Amino acid sequence: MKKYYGIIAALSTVVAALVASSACILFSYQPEEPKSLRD
Amino acid sequence: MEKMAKQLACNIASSLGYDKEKEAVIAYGLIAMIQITITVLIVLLFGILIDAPVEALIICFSASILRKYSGGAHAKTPELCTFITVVYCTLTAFLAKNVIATIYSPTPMIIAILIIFGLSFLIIYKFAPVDSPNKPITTEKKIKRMRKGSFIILALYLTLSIVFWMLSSHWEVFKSYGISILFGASWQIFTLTSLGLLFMGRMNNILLHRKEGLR
Repeated sequence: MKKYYGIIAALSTVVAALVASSACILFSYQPEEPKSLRD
Repeated sequence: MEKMAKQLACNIASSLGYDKEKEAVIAYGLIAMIQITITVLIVLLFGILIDAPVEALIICFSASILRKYSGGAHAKTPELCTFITVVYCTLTAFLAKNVIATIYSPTPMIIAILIIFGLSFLIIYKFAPVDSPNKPITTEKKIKRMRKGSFIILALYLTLSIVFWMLSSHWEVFKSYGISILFGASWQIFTLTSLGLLFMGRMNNILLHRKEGLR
């Protein structure tokens, strides 16, 4: 299970980093951005 | 959707021994992945049901790619956002393929392209990027970068629209593809204006009240 969690964690961190550089997540909902991803 | 992502992030963080900030980053990425996947799949499904899947996806992606740089009015929950996206993409894809493409004429189309893109460049110049309280854009550097990105994306859409307009005289299918880009860009530009912000605010209130009333 730990192995799968590691893969999901890595993948979601990459996606979070990708959407952090944009004005908002691709569609019209914007969750609160974590502090470490802010400019 | 958000609760599910946060719960999964919590399980992952406790299993891998991550701190709260790392858990928040995983939850943020998970929300984005889940929302993008579900929204695209539902838009595709409804697109297939109305026999206009390509048009529905063109509208969905043209609005959302421009949104990445321009920002805009937001829904209060991911479910509401998916609902609004699916309804708009399905209705306009149906209109593009089954109504407007059947009465399509090249001259009105090029006039519509020039008017819509002319207005869009003006609105982007005046309002973009429109941020949200959950992701404020504070630095001048980022504002300039986002506005420049919006102009580049809009210029690409204009080029594509003109290419589709030229191809539509030989291939029928490009008529509805060109109309779909106009629908996608128009919706995104609308959400940048005060009228768009007011509309999304009203939609949030009406649909969330109805949801609470049903509980």
